[in-house]
Amino acid sequence: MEASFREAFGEALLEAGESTRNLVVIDTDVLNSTKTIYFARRFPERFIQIGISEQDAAGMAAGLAISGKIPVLATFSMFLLRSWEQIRNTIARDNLNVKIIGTHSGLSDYLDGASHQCLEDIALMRVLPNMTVISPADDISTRSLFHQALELRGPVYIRLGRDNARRIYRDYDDVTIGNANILVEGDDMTIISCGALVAVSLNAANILGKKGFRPRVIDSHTIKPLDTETIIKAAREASPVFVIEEHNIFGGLGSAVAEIITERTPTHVFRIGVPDVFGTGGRSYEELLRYFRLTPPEIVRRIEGMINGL
Amino acid sequence: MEEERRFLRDILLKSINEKQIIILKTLLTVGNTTLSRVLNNISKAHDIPLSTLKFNASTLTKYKLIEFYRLNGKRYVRVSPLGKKVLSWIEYDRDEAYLQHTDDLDEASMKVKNELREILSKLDGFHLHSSMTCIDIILAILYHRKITNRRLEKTNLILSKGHATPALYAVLKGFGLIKARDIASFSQPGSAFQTHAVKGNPLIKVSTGSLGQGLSIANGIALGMKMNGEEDYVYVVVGDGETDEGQIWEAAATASTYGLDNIILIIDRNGTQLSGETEKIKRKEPLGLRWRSFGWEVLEIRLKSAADILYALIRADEIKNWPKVIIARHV
Repeated sequence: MEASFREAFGEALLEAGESTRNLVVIDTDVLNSTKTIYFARRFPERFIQIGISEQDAAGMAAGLAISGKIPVLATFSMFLLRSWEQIRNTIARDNLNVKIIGTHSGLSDYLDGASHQCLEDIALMRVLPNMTVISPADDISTRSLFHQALELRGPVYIRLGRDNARRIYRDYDDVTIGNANILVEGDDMTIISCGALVAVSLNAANILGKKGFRPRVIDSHTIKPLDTETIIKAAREASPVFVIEEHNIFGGLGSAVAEIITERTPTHVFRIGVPDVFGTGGRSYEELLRYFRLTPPEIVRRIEGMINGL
Repeated sequence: MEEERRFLRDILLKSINEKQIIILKTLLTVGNTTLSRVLNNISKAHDIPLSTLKFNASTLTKYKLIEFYRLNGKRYVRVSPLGKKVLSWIEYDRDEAYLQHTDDLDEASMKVKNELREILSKLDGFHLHSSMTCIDIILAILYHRKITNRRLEKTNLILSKGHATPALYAVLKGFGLIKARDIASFSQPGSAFQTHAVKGNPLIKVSTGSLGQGLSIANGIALGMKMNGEEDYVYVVVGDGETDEGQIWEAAATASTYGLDNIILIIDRNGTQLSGETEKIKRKEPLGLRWRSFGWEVLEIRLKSAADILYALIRADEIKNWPKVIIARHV
């Protein structure tokens, strides 16, 4: 089933608004796009419009957290990065209870092109002390992980796509912050992914299975703190490791996985993502995945090529 | 002499009403302004109908207590010399109380400045000038809270110019909020008393050090306090140099959009920033007009002593509905 990341978030936010009275939402004039509009209509007195000024919005979120609120700052992940230094110097440094939602991440904002396609946010957020970094794979896990993030004390960054969320999970209880999910068991290779590419990875694994491979597929929705136990175990039991993500291959989940595997149990880690280039516009999300060779058949072809090169 | 002044004041108070006094006092603290502009502001800040104010302003004009002048083709208004004299006679009683505060503040100022020199002597004068130019501002804020029975330890003070944090330590020590042994570790690795503000120390609710960000944070605290029904101020001390940052102006617009009248921003207009004179590096003037155009109530003062800030804070206490900025110009 095809669902939408931002719809799932907008609905989860509305639910949270009912149950969490000190939750406030900060918008930078994109409420229609991020779907915080559902919350804005229901709780106008707790919806704070800041205008097109992300740096001011990050400071506002910090101040509201200091005054005892739980601020949810939601905007396009790309433009959120304008306030990276404010997030670093106030929200992360003072460990403030701000929930930061970056929507339209990766290639999901296909039509808007390179200026809007954020392929750097995982790298920039996971380098911040105190920050939890999450990239849900579908609508169910978006809702579940968002609610869990509200229960955590401290800053959380949740990376969301725009729409195009193929459903993977059945139940809210299927995902827990900090625990990677083994979706398919296998022992001759491991595919680790996060976000919308988990669904793509599952399809790729299916094709690989038909070719006689036995891939293990892991959804590492929590990028920080990384579930090192599950990843180290996979590296030992089902090597080599392929990390598939909608992010620059530098600094993303692939780098995070390579860092710990190199230290603890060195084996081959291949990063499959956007190869250190900027995005480009396309007419559909699928068209862009094809362009960046991130469709299931392309991924299978690349994995086979990498294995042959070993 | 004493009796004569009292007598004069009583006569004056019979012929001048409260609204006229408000107009005169407001005009004293603003820069170049037109009459309609200042009356509009007063009308909003004090909830007085505009027509009433216009009538009173015409009386003031008739008795030559206010006067008009032309500048750049515009007709501005100010208090006439006679108006200043009349105001000083009316404010006579208050002057007595102010004199006491002035003496107290002068003494405290000397003490905390010596303390500051002592703290920074270990660091070869780290940003000494920046701390020195805003120490009277911090001192006056805490002193104002003391005389208006606001709790010192509850002060919401954001030091946007975080490099002036040593001035805050000196003032905190002056008010007995920290001890000498607390700041013995100043600027050492792992110490809570860093050169730039770190959350957790008395009165430091948020870490600062990166310029131009304090007002946004203060807006968030101020808005949160309004939502919580808490009535108190959030004070923000901003350096003139950091108004180069665009974020300050984003925040300025936010504060007026949300009518955050619990914000008191004080700009330390010392005229210098790291590499030289502020106007040579990036123009700041006309600073008062800039803030006014962003929807702020502007109090421009000439900062000679901490008491000047105190008087501005007392004035700011009377202004409702608008965020307030005190531009403290060093003489």
